[in-house]
Amino acid sequence: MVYAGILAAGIGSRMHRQDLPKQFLPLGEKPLIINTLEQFYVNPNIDKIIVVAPHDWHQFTEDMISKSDTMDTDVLVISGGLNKTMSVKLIVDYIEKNYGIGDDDILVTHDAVRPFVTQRIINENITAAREYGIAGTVVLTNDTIVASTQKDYITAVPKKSEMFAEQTPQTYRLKDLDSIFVQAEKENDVLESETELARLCIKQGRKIKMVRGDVSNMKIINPYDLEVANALLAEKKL
Amino acid sequence: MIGHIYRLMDTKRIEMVQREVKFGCDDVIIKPDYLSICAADQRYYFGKRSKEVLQKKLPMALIHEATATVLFDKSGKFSKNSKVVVVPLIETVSSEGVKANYNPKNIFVSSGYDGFMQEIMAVGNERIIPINNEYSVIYVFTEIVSVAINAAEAFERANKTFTESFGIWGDGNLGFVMSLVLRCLYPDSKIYVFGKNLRKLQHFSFADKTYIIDDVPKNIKIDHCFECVGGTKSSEAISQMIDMISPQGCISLLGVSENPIPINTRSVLDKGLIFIGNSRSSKEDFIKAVNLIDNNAMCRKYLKMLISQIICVKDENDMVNAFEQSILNDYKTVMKWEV
Repeated sequence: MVYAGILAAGIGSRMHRQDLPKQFLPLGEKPLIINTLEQFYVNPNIDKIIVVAPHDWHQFTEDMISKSDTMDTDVLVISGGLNKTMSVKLIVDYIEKNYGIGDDDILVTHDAVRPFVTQRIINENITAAREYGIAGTVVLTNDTIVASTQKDYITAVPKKSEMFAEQTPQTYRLKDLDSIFVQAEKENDVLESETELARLCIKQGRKIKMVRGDVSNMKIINPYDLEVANALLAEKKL
Repeated sequence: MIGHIYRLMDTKRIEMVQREVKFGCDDVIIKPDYLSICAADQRYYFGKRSKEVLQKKLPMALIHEATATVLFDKSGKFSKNSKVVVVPLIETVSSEGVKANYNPKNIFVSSGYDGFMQEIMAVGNERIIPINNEYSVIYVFTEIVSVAINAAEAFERANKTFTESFGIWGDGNLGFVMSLVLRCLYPDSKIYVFGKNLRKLQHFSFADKTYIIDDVPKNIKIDHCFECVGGTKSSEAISQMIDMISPQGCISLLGVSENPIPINTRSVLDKGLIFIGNSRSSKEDFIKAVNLIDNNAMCRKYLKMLISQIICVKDENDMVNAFEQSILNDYKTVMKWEV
């Protein structure tokens, strides 16, 4: 089985629109999350989609999906965790409890607010996770990345050629992912404060195979991003 | 859902745009696999169309010859991952009495409307035809085969009485496919091919004889001719056909010429010739083309020879490279679509 875990538990505080989380805001003619879900829904390699929604928006998410004219109701919604890592753990727990984890099962996790993901990126993630256990989508950065430990002065300027921006999907062989969470528990890692699952993987000595992302696979975080995304979709005659 | 479209913005400039892919119950979501570059695409890419045409039709995604994989079909008519070809003609009106490909109200993709250079597409299920997965690459030539079938059938409607010999002018892609389709449909007829390039004519090993146009013996009997030259040179080709064709023969025209060309009407009248114009093809021609490729091993074998180069395409740079390369290749340049 190949599962898609769509991470939609954020409440979009950076959107300054507290009434509606960013994943539910319109992009083109549909809510942002529906645009993202459809990309996974039509992928022939995905068998099951699980959406992690904010607790208070669980029913709203279910209603939105069932009202979409393209998807059937077999997209499952569960209530989300405190952060991305916790949300992924919730998906793993749900799969283990309800379906069991098979040796070849794969979980493709993806931010609900990255609606521009492509079929190629999804497929290459699945292929890489099958072969290497864990796959992460990345792009080379256009900007030079600098580090600042005290947020006051630049303390390091890493080589640009070695810097990548992380995107999603991040994809895991479920059995491996389950053991990552088990080991984290043994090592008393506090998942509630670990926002980056990839960091946990590296800490445990796991290798993450990089998959070529795309600059267009942007994350819609703030109102500016949404403006840009909507402008990109608008048909304009030159 | 959002898809990526790769449009020709201006001469030699391809850029990606993102657009919503809207799909309903009767639409199939497909992902193109192989795209074949045709002369019409090259004319747009290299800016060989008139300024007015380029201004009117661009930006536009090129390519109307493609195979694809079905990602999703809500109706269940097509199973996921099955291989298909897509008819580039979109029928917007019922074409009673007029064949769909000649109805000006119908839409042809890559001619004013986005063609198949897209990451994913929603296509009406009536435009999808399943193909045999085993030979999936060569089905990328289904469209050009269907164009030849459209011409062959138009010829049949005009004349069925004598078909001992056919002369095909043009040693390019269309000449090759037209000759091959006639070879398949008329296995007992003589197929003579006329071209100007000996190297290219050597590809036509299934023909009975090939000739360089300026070294043609006088005693050849040709019942009917097919013109697959196009451009300004089509005038010379048609002139030679009129001279060589038997009285009351048919001359089928398939080559596109941007400008009007002179024709020796006196000889046309003296010989009682029939001229047939041919352009594009209908869904029915597509189905016949798929059947021909499915059932005729000889057709499959020779169609494979039409591939000059397969270029793996992952981004806009690869697309530009494929178009630039296509002009150097004798025959078809096919893009393996991995965007």
